[in-house]
Amino acid sequence: MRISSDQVERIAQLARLHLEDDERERIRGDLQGILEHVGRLDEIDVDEIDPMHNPAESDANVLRDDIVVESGVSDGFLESVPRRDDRYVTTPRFVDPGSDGHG
Amino acid sequence: MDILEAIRSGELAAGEAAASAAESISRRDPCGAFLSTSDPDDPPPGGSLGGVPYAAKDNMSTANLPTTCASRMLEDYTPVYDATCIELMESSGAILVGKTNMDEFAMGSSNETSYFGPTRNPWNHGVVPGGSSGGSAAAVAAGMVPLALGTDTGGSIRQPASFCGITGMKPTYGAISRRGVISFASSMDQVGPMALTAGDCALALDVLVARDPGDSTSVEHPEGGGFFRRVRGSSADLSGIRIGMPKEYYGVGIDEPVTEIALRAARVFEDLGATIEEISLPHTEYALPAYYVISSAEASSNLARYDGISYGMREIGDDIDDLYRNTRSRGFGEEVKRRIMLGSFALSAGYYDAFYLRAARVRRVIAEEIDRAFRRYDYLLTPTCPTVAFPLGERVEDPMAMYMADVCTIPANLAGIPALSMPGGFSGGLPVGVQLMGPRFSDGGLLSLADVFQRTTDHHLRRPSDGVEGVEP
Repeated sequence: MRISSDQVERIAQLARLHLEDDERERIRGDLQGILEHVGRLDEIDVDEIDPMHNPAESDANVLRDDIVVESGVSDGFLESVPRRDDRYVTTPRFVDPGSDGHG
Repeated sequence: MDILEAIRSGELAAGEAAASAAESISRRDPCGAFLSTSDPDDPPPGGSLGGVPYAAKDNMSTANLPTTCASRMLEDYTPVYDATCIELMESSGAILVGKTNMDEFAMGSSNETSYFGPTRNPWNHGVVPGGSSGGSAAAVAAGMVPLALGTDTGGSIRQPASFCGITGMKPTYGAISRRGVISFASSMDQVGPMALTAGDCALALDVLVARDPGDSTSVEHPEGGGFFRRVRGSSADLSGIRIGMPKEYYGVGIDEPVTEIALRAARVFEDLGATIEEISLPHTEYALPAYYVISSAEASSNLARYDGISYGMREIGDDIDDLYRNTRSRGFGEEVKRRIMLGSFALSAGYYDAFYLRAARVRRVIAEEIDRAFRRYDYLLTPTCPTVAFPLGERVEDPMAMYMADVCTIPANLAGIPALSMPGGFSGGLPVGVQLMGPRFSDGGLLSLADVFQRTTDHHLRRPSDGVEGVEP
């Protein structure tokens, strides 16, 4: 399949990446090459095969009891926050004050 | 005698070994194997690895040392807790002397994607050490530490072990906890030991293999522990052991000397009584494309957490979306962005079925084909990598050529089986590894087989002079 620059830009938006023009073109070419290689997967008929998401299928995703454990490191985590105000993480405003909060 | 055994037996004084390792690393690291070093305290008394100095890849969380994943994104990040594997090593008395360089977020096969610059191969500073655990491999090969921890998602322990002439093992998926290890592709990431010998790797497994409630994919290993005891007690008579050589790993694209060295290893096993047979695993060629879709999809999801809000780097922006995009665009290097883009594409509406889901179905075909082979064979023997270590810069501009370096190691990650690389010989002055794979939970048997090989051969005993005077590749 052919990957267009617009498609690359759309994926970059999904991935929250900003690509410069030359970078976008380079990645477009790389993706094109990789997807051509990946296209070989079409050679085998796997329609009746269940996907395998994890090699330890029978053991994975076991629910555990929801028990609160004191980690003792919550203040330490706050130390890692790039910008904060006391115990609050600061960010740019992301809810438009004029909207109903869903916009 | 193994270095670890020398320390354990008291022949090498434990505290001195760690202190002198830390001191010499901070003074001289000609390969650029380390990103940070620690000032070790006196070793706690006792413990199975009491006083043994070791290095950990810089994607393992350490509360007292930065954990950068060799990325600008985490350049100034120090975690607030230790990964489970680090806790276990500490409780065994082993002493962490430093964190090793790697490909950024473990994405790469040469250590050249590190934000802090590449590590060099101790055998020849003009060639790569392999990756992504290249710093750990170089540190062991150069004699800076007797033991290092790496992670292996598609060959990232075994391929650098091959390029640097050491023994490196990816245990069964789930055998060692991933808690606190920075995620790349969670269904394949696995911690493992890198050392000069299989015996030393077994000593490390005795410490590291444990189910951890902090990692829901970690499992109770049916062999329990006692890997080292089993390895040392194993018989050098391999009568009754059946080893398969899948012909797809010996064909096009594998350098002649590399194939020759794997065939020579097969003859060593045969002389010891093992039965060697050529077999066919016809879907092997689909492992590489399936892997790149699955691992990139998982990476794009795992790396979504680096948004500049709660930890790591933050770049300012006009609004929250701008902040995310600026942070991620400047924090991630090119290879990481390429994989995030590939993964986001494979998971996006309209392409999910054709790419991600198809790759996950192919993964089952490959895993079941390997499982079937283990009904007739105890182990599989292949080259670890198609080539010896390649020159720095040679493949940086060509992602597909770089990805080919993992073509022999990827199937074990897709299937979740244990696999190791051990030194099998030399070509042009550079080491060549041989890979052994076994069924799930055959970790002890696999190490025993490698140990028997190392009792009979001496490739693992050859050490680089110091790499500076290495031969041309």
